[in-house]
Amino acid sequence: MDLPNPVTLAIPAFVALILIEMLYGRLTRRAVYEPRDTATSLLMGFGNTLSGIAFKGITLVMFIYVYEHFRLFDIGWVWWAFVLAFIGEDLAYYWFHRTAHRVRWFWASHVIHHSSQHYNLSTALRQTWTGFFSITFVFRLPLLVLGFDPYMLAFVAGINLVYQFWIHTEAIDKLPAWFEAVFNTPSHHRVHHATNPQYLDANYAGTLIIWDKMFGTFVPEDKAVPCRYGIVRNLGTFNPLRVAFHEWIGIARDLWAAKSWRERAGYFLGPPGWSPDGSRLTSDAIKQRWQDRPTPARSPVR
Amino acid sequence: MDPLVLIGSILGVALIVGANLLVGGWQPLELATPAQAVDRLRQAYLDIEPAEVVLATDRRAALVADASSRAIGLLVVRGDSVVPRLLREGDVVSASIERDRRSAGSVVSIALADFSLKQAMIRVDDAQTAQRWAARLDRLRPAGDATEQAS
Repeated sequence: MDLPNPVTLAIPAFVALILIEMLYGRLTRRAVYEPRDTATSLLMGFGNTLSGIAFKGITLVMFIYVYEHFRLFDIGWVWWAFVLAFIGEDLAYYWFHRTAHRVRWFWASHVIHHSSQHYNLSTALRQTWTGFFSITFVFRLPLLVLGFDPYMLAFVAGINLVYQFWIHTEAIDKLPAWFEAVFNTPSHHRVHHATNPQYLDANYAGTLIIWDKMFGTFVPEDKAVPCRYGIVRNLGTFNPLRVAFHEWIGIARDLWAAKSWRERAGYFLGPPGWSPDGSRLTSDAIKQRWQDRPTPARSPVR
Repeated sequence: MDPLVLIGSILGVALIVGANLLVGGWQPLELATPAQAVDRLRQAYLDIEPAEVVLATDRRAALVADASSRAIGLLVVRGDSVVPRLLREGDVVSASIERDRRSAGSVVSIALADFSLKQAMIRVDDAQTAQRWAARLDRLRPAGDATEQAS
């Protein structure tokens, strides 16, 4: 079946919505765009599209191979298969995303999306150029083995990505309770992008927030704790090349300096911030220190 | 890829960045007080205890000496955001002092072993302050590499 690419179709809407949010933010101060940050986010998005052209074909060939040789069932192109494929894809996305925050090899690609200190619709387009090298596609293999067609999976994955665009905004507060309970929303995803210790490693959902609630990673937004966006070690550059490769360079330097295979494994497969002597901090260590801090808490100044 | 999508994407990027320059709506960040600089640093490094703080005269950078170690906190403004670092031994490639061409003060120029923050400049009021901080920073060059005094 010949299905369109939902992301390509959505590009004009992305542009229009960013311009609308920018103007709305200018009038209300509920969204801030800084030109160099915006340019970097958009160039990362453009680079992601180009790298997709280079590697998507290889991924698709692998998907077709797995589907042709290892599938257990013939699900076919019935309407309910799209619904099941979407739910399955969203669950696969949750586990990919969770792993991307907990294993440095995967984080090296995903960190790009978190590297802006702004949270607006342009941040949604700040995407990795090196996703292929993090073999993120392995999380979808079980769906192929179950018998979902690779083209159907590519289509529902595109819809999932398009859904995730609009939640990158501070312009929308909370939505109706029933919607917040089931779906990923701007409020839930602000928490995911925040670096405040109490918000770290939370809300990995793509479309359905139910996965976080099921697997114990859901944290609601607390109005008393405004989100601070970015990464634990924020970047001092707007250069897209440095943004794209900074974590890979960091891994390479650490591997070069490592004294044993245990250290090499830790630098590569351990959580971001892992170091043999604990001199750097993982998100777990940051949360622990924050919980153990002397009271009264030091209030952050924005 | 459809060439139309490619061209459309490039035009879209240009349109949005152009609109952002035209519309504005952001303010360059200024570190107003030493307390604000310390608070900003503590957002990233919870344990730092400031012994001494110097704010750049243009309010776009700050240095914070840690009371319990030789580490030095560095804050650099990038647009409307701030980039914090806690510099430890090995993080500084060089620290030198230059005459500030904009004012009568001095500039502490720091080269860093940091792929995403290669350099930082801190404008200070007088040569003595610059000398003191440059010497502190110089001690954070890789072991065996530091000199007695920054040039």
